[in-house]
Amino acid sequence: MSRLTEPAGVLEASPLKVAAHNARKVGSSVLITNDIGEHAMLTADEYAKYLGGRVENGDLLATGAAGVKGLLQKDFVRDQLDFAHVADRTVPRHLLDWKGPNVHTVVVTLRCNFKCLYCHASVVGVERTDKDMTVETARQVVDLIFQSPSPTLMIEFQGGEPLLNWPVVKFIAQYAKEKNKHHKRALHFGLISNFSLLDDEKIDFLIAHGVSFCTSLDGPKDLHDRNRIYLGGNSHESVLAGLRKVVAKKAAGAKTDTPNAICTITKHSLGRAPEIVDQLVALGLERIQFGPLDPIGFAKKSWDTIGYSSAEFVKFYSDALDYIIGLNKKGVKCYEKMALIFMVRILEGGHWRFPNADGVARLAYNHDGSVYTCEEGRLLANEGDEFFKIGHAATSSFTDLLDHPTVHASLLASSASAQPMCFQCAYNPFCSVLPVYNQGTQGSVFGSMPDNGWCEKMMGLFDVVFTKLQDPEARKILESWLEYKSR
Amino acid sequence: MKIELAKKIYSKDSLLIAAQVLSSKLNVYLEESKSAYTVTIEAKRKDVVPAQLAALAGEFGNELLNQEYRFIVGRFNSKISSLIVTQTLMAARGGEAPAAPPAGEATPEFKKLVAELVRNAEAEVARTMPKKIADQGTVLPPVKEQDIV
Repeated sequence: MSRLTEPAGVLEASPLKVAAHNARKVGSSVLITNDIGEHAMLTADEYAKYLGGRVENGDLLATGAAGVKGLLQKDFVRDQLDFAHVADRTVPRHLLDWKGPNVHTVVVTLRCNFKCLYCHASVVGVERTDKDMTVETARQVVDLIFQSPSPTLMIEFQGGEPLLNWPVVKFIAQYAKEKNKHHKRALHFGLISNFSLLDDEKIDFLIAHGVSFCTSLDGPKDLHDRNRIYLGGNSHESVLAGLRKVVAKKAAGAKTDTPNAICTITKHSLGRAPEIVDQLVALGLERIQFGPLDPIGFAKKSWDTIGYSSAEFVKFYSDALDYIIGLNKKGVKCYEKMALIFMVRILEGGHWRFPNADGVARLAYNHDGSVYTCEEGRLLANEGDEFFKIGHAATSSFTDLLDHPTVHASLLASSASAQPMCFQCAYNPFCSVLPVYNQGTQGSVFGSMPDNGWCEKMMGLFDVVFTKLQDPEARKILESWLEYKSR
Repeated sequence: MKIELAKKIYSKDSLLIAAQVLSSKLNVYLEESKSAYTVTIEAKRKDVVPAQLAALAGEFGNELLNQEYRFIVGRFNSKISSLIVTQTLMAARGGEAPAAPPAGEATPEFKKLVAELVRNAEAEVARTMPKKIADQGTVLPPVKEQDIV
């Protein structure tokens, strides 16, 4: 199968010179990576020379050039491994000092005034107040969140449309801030909303309580309105109005971040990357973020209408990245979020081993107080698969949640060292396994990588990024995006 | 459909796990002789044609290989995997002695403040929100594009 990585042993390797590594052909080059997260892009001749054990001290390939590390410094040469360096890199990568879940998604209502084609959120109509979180449940959820020892806590308000249960959004923000006077964590809030109900009073409250704003904008009006149907008005105009209000408040001196807009990619978006990017840039948004659809939750049922293959998404992404890099060349300040994450992992080694560590890095709370390892796990439950439900805010302690067998299984499944194919993959140091995707599409948290859509998509995306990194001008631009990582 | 599998190659554990993973689509029956397992595969849907059954049997075979391969990888990397998971869980709960809740939360002042926040929020819910209705059960079905004019 073409997605399987090129094994290192295609050519006979010199056992004394060649350290453990994985390899993959990217274009005409060969990418090699190792367990400490180093990588090198070699020509076919250089790779043959390396495998043949003919990389010597004094050779540029071994020692590198000014500012560029060679294979020796990257610990690819077995008889010259710097074990102290290997240990320094290995421990933080594999045994990161976990601090407890820091991202907490709170679904304050399932009600929504939109009917989006792909809605993962399993929404109900606006009259269904039985699907609102109560104040008492909200209090229990906040208490549970603060049981996490994490020094940083991010509470994300989700729905449905969270602003439909505005009193509970307000309560959670106020109560968490009061609790935090005693806990002294770095406390952040995020609102994920369609902005249709966002008025000045709400904006002022949210800014005063340090809540950041995030919405969905799928591109130009025809595309956005086709994907995101607003039962009470003009979908595209309402989101633009909300974005402009927040941007204006910021321009007037309010202490808030620039709002974010995630662009969900459906079948209708394919081939329209430049228009979509232009729409976001025209609003003054520097961050471009694409949300690929996955065939889980409600999107699975609409897949024939709005879905696409992994290869189609990768093509879209490649076109979009080309376009964004082109805008950068013209002096337009913008960056693509997924590429930034990849750059942090590839260029800085800033990668935890379980970026999707459901249960230990993130948790999700449904309107009724049920606790899930992650938001996607909650969506699967709405389809009848409660595998990722690990407790309830009224009755579970934080340690109960961590002791749940699903958390242990998800952790094991997240470990690339335990996954067939992943542990031999050149993208292993930079990639992530998504247990909830495996469960939703293949019936097992461990999944089966040879025909796993997530794996196919990730490998395609890494191929795109590593190809771009070989172009010096594009590489310089991608490296410059690292300045956005703290935003 | 019957498949014969050599015991030298496939373990019973892999067979059982593969059967479980595909249990929503297949009934799998297992017999064994001294040197082989005989697996009988039946589709749960009654209307499958032979080609579809063959495809399901192929899916079972792929899953079986996946599980067998997982055992190999698991044996190879079990020590580091166990270490990572143990370390992760221990650190995520705050180490061996997690910190106690701050004393300030137990004071009458804090409890009074929380009670007031709850009272205000419930009053706002009563004042501004649509009337609370009884639980109506399941959520709405997904919207289909052809349903939208």
